[in-house]
Amino acid sequence: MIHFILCDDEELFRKNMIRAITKAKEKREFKCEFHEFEKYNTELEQLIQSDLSSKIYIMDIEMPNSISGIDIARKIRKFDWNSSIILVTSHAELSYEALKAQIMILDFISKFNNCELELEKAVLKAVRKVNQKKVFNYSTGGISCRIFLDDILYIAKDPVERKCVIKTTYGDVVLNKTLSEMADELDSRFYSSHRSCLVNTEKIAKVDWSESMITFDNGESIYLLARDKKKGLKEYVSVD
Amino acid sequence: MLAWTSLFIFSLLYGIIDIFAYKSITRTTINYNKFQTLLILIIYAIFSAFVSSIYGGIRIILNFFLVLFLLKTIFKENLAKTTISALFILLSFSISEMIYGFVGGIILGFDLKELSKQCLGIVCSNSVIAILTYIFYLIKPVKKYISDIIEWYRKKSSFNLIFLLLIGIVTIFIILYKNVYNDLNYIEFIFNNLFCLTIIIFVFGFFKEKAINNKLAIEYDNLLEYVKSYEKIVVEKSKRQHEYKNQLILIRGMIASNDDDSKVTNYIDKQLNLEIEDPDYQWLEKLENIPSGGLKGLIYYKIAQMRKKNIDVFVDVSEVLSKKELWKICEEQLDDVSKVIGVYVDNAMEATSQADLKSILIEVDYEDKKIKFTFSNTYKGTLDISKMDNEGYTTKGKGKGYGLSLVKDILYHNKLLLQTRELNGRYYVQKLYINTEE
Repeated sequence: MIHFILCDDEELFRKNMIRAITKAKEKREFKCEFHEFEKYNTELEQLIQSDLSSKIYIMDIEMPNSISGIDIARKIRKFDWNSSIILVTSHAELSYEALKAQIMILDFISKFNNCELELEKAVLKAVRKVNQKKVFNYSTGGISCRIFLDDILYIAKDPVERKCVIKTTYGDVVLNKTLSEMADELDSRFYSSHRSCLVNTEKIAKVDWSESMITFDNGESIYLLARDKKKGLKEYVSVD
Repeated sequence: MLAWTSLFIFSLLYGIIDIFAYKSITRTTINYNKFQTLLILIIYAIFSAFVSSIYGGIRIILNFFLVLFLLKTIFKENLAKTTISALFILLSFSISEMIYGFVGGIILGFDLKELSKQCLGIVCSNSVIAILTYIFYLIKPVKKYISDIIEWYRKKSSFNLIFLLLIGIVTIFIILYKNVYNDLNYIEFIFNNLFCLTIIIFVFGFFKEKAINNKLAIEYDNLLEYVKSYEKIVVEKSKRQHEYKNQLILIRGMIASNDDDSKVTNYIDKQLNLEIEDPDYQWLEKLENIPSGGLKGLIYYKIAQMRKKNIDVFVDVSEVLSKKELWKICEEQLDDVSKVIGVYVDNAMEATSQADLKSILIEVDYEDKKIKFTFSNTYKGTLDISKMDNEGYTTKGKGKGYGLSLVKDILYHNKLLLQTRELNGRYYVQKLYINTEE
């Protein structure tokens, strides 16, 4: 059961949201329940803090009588990094890219640009990610660190030390963990392509089966594909 | 009697020069009563003649109060302005006295000590000093220089500075007094005068520097005032626009759900697209909740720098912080808070400018009775967070890496401030908590 939490001061917009979700439901079957709010209140606060699994939030950024959708998103992220958040805005021309990457907003939808259709697409994306883990947490020197699984390309074992290197879209992170310890912290999108490598199958752009080469979205390639792992990987990616 | 007359005459002359000098440096124009002014001048001259017969440092202090009395009763202006003007006039007299001593005593070889004992000598010597002072105030740059200082002081009167200036002047006069009444050789005389000159240069330099700072502060205040009024317009415009757009969206939605009148919806779409907002003003609107003052100015300035460097900026200030009383602590701790924020923002700008995605988020929130500033920035390479507070740790090259060490020192002494940091995905996040309850 997916819980859609909708927050907008205009009833008409909330209806639009429900219509978009219903259309998405026709394309990909899922059970859902709607929770409607016209502003942030204690009931919504309780829902945010509840243990309900599979929550998808769709909220308006600007609500005159309430804290903004961005503020609500921040409150959500204090407890929960696994629910998807979609924000709707009438300031679509403003840049929210930085915020998107920082509090993990799945999408910003403009109210002016085919809102319903865009919302439907975002809902489908969110539904696909419902059972996915979103974040990998660790701490170093007493400081908490967070890596979004969406940003990881692959994780490779250090050939010498008991360490592994997490290759992300923005840089490398070295951790004092073994690859099997890492695998326990990840979700099903990560596949062990080699005994010294875990790849994010959603980030694979191309696989050269004959050369055992995996190329990722950012153009980076690795030759860490074992012969006995090819069959398994073919289940994740389309075969060229 | 003759001696008293000579003292009275030069005191009267000095009084006239005092009035002229005051008018020159303060640009005061008053319709003064001639009879009243004359009466005040005569009273001043009588007392001044009496004071002139006293020897020692007390003479200078009494003379200062007499000049103050003269200027205050004639011009009836602000006491701080009159006081500082009186001090500068005395200072200019000391310069004239030095010039007179140097030219008369050293170059022309007059016996100044002997002259000071004769009535005619007293009148002549003091007339020359008065004329030199008069000439001094005819020089335009000098007038402007002193009037800038007085204008600054008028706005920021401080007793300490008057005290400092008075001590300086007393010192100068005592040294000059030695010039005349002690038998000094040329070398001692020149050293004496050089010492005086050093004090005078120091006093002028010190006050000029303060005056320049004040000028900058005034310019800053004006700029902030301008931005504030502009901000109001933007906020008001934005609110109205938001409401207007919402109405249009509603109408559009209604039409679209009832029938497919694409002509109407297209027209409305066109109208909506015409109202494109400038993204650069987004932050301007958001900063509304930060009260005007140094901190807001600093953040405005830094954001403007970021925009210049094409850094994608996102600013958000929580609505809770619209209550001005919550910001009181920031005003009280402005010195420390602005230094820390300055370091954080500068570091964020440097780090993000090296990253592929140049992005900075500035968020201000209120939680658990603390104002929380969050600065998030992208970066390139690997950060060793545990070493960041160490002096000299940097990813920016030689000569850098002292900012966070400075912050560490500030936070060590100021227990109202607390910092935390974390890595959040591609963002390095630096948080500053300001405890609003001491």
